[in-house]
Amino acid sequence: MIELTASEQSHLDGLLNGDQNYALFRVTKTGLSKSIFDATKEIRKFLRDNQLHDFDAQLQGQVHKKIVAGEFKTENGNFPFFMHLNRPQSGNGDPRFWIPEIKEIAKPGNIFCLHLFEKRLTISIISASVGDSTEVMAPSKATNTKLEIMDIANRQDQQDLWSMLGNLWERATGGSDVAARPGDGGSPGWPSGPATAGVDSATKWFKAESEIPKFLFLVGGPGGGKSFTAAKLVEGLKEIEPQGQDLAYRAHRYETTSGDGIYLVNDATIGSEIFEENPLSQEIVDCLKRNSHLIACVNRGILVEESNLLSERYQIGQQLIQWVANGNVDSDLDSSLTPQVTTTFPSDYLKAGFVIEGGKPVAEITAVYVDSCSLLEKVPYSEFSIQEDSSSFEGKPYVIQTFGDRKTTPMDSIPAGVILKETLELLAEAIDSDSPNAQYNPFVANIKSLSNSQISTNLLSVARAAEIGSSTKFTYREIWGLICRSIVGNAPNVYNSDQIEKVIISHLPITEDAIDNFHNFQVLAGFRYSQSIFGGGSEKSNNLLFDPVLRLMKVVDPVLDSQPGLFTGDVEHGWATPIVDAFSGPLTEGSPLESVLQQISQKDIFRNVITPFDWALDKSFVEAMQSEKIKDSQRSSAIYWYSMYISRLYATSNGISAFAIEVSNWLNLWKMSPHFPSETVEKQFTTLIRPPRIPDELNSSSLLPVFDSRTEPLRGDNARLKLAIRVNDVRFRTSRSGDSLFLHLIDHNLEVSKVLLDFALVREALSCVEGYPGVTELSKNVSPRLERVRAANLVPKMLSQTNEYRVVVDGKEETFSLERSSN
Amino acid sequence: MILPLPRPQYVAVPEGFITAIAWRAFTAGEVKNESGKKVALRFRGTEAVTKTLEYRITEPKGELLTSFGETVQSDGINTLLPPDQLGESIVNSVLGVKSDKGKFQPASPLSPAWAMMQNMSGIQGSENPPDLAEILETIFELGLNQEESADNHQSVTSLWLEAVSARLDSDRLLQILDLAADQSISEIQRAPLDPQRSSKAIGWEGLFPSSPFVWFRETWKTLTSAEWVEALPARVWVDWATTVLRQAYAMAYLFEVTWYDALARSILKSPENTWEELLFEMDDWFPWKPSNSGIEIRDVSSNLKWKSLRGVEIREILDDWLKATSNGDEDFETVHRMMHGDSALRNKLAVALGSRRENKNLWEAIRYSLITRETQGPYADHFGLLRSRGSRFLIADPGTEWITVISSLTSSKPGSTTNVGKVTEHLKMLGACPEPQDLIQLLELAGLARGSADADQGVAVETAY
Repeated sequence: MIELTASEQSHLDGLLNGDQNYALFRVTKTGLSKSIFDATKEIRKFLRDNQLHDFDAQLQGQVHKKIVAGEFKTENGNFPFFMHLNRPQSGNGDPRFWIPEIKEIAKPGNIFCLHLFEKRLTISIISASVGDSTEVMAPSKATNTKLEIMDIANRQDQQDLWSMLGNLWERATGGSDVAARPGDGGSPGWPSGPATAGVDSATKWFKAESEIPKFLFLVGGPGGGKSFTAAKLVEGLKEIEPQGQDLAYRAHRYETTSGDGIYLVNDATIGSEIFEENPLSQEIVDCLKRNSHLIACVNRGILVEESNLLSERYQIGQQLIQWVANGNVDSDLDSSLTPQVTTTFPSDYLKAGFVIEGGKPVAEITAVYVDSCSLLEKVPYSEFSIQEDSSSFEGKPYVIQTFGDRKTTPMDSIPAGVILKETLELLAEAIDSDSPNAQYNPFVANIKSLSNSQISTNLLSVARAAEIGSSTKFTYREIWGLICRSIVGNAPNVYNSDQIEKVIISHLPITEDAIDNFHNFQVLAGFRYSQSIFGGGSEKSNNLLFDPVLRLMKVVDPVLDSQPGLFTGDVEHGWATPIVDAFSGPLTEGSPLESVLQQISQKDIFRNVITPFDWALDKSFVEAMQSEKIKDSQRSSAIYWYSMYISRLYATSNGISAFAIEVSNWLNLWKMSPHFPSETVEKQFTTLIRPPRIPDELNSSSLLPVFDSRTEPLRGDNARLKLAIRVNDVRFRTSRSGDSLFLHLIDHNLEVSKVLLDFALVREALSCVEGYPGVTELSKNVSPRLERVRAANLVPKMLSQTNEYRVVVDGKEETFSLERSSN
Repeated sequence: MILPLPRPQYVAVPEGFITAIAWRAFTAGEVKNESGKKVALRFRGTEAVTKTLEYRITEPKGELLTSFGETVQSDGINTLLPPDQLGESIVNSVLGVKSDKGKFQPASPLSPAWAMMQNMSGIQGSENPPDLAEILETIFELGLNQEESADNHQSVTSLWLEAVSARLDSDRLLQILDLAADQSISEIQRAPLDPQRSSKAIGWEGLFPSSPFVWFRETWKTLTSAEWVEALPARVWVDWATTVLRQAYAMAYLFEVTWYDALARSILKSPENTWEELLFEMDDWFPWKPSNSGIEIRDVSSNLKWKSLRGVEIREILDDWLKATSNGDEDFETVHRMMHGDSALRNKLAVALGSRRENKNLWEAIRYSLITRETQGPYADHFGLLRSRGSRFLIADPGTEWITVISSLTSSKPGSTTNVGKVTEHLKMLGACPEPQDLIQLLELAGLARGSADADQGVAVETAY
């Protein structure tokens, strides 16, 4: 039992507020130097009573070690820790514990209290060290990185790779969709991604002093970091009438030193108990009345829903929601009434303004669109600056990088890159290359391959191609899903975290039978990053449809589009020839992997992605091919599978996605907007939208049938006699909005039509050659859009202006004109 | 209790819907030959005479084609093209959908004259085809809500007339073609009639607040508005109108049989039930299963077929009972209670609910309205909702333009944006409830929407024009 001084007792009483559920421990010099503490009876009881750990039930030995996550609570903020609990193999196995992070804050003699705060394991300091008056501080944010690096060093001794990998399970996609509660800490131990565009400047704005209330809207889908940002903003504030921690609640209210507190709508999808109809609109009105600040985490669905139900009772709330939703205020709302909403700073990712009443601002408003910028692109610069008598936002526009630009972009400047890099650093330190069977461990192979910064940068380039190919952006949740798949494959979907070691062991390719060994290897190789991110492992077919990561990544699986050629850094020249050559011939002796390496350049990054695992797999393949027992069907199947494996590994390590040429062109179109990147591409779009009747003559007219159901242009000399109009003077330009690109058709300086210029349309356009429109697997989807674009020429307004009626007869175009009506 | 819908038949070609409306708009008379035999008009096909009908082809050929070309020229088309070639190019331009096994090909009902290049006898090959226009008018009337003015004179036909008038006023080429067709091809001298509302649905206002009837009324009014007529090319407008009419026709009857099904079960189960409760208890009348389900799960053929057949039988039983007991004028709750108290009726209904009596008319009417006709080629039908999978299965697999029409017309103005919530609401009225992800995917494939992780029902949907 630790005896406390009066001040320590007072500190403890203030901390626990009468709660007797706690345990104390004193940090000794020996404990700190040996990185181990005795788990006293008091600590053992506390852990057991709170169902955190039962030492009595724990077997001796490092392999039975358990790790419990928690949070240090200090004057300077909270930060996570891992409490390692074990009974050593030696002697009686007296219970021990160790907290690597404690070295950063503890001095010998410090007394710490182990307790629960909001049902979370928490350690608070009760006293400064004896004889040392230095204040014990939490590490500042600036030293956090250092802490993590030191932490890695500690963990290397204390935590094996399997437990660290097991901790990734909670980061794999498929977790709870419920917004994180404001009191929740982040998942300890893993890095957090940097704030998305506009979040930091909006946070600074929200924290700055103001005489009027501030309304901050964090807009975006689940997994975008809204609740995380909100939690940071209310951190340390006292909640008024605290909500329980058992359920997710719509709203929380916090005390502030000035004004009437902060009203936090943490999850606007949860209904309000107070406001049945249009709750967010009413909450806005309520905050205005009470002079309260507001933070609202809201998705676009809610914004649209509330925008549609108009009511004068909470008009300003609806105006504000419409402003957040699309920047426009519905004309159905009475604009003569006040208050009204004005905009002072518009951008793709952040918008700021005021609510004005009687000519005076009554609330400052800011909306941050947390998912407007890809997490695989650089975060655009934005800042909130305070001058003597004014304050304002400034920011640079969102810019999408071409593949060429990406190669020189440091991982640190991309949000997803930060997480990937830091996660790999944590895991790389835990690898023990000397451990038995390390060469058969696909997870180790993944960590080793991806620890090469160019290879992990290229992985992110492939993921970015997936975003463009599917017109969808990864959220932070999906980025974590991608990272988990890159490291542990689809294991979190199939196994519990404590099973994975056994899964690997049960598939070790160490039998006498070469074919069995190869089959075992196939299972293990399914966890390899280049396989698992495309669903190339043992995926259930439904996963390809519904797994949030695979749904995006399968679109750019390199084996969908293996372009022949030798890769020299430019996708235009192809890449797949060395792999095709490696699998040509009898395949009874040579190693396909060696064959590929003989053909590619010395600088090819593929050389760096190969690990002992891949060499062992390659050897296993060769042995299986040489086996006398192998059947033809098994041989074909193995060759097919292994060629896919090497193709994916090669392409992904080089940052080559399927349809890389099309994606690259889309990026160039975005970069060069409103112009086309080249005359060739412009001609391809011209052919796609208005194909010439005579394909070999690019200047040949394009004829649209006037009355057909489908506006398929008339082609060739033998087109059936039909009424048509000639469409010639069509020009194109592009425009961009965030990640979206649009194609505009201009006829005689009049915009006829505007169409989304997405990956599918680019793919369709690039398939056009020399005046001939091409056909791709996307044609049936793109055709209706193209036809509508063309049909814009056939609406009465356009027809009334045309004098280009035609009929094709015997390869010639006969004109006809219309007399004006006598009426 | 018994919906006032006339008995339907399948409509052989989609053009039949507008053709029926056109014939209601301009003449109620029948075309007969010199011997008094009914004349069945078809645009392209083979002339023939049967016991009851004379099939006459309206497509101009030979000298008539030249004459038609000359008429067009004299009506306002200036060209050096020989009249027969001009005529042929026009004929080729206005051809409608040809089904795989069809014996004839209609003209696309781009204008009144072209709509009347065929009549319902020609389309159906029947001396007494169903009064399709009256059916559509009845469906439209059933969608009338109580707030609408009782003295409103809007009807399917009047709204169509307004739309085609606006089209002809703004499209000089079509105006000339309509005039020329009238002068040189039409078999009849058409005279406009006062477009009558259906009288069958009087007293039914507002009884089916979320139903295909309401969907049809709202959607037809939207499509025939000046804004939408101006925004769509002529043929596209006709295709859209046909799609709306096809859906209304099929879904109205599916709703009807589902209503009888629910009514029969309610009578068997309990003496007390209100109208509103019964509406609430109705099953989905169009079971649209998730696209990732197996083909057997997605198949609607069996479900809809037997529901249709049961519905016909239950309707007959209830109708007979009402006539026999003269209780048709009592209020719903009273009649329901009386029916529940009649054990003989209950026995008949119990048998009917398990019946598999062959009666194909209704099922075929529904099936042929919803199914995609030709899937490929120049006359491909992109406006169908159902698609065959082999000879056994029918699944909800709409053509790209089906979802385009349905979603765009949820918005009263072209060139605007609506959202998935609104589209879902309209689909629900129609009876179709696809999974949100399936719906968004359909909209994305049609190039009308871009999914967003957080937008849910708020995913923005652009109108197609």
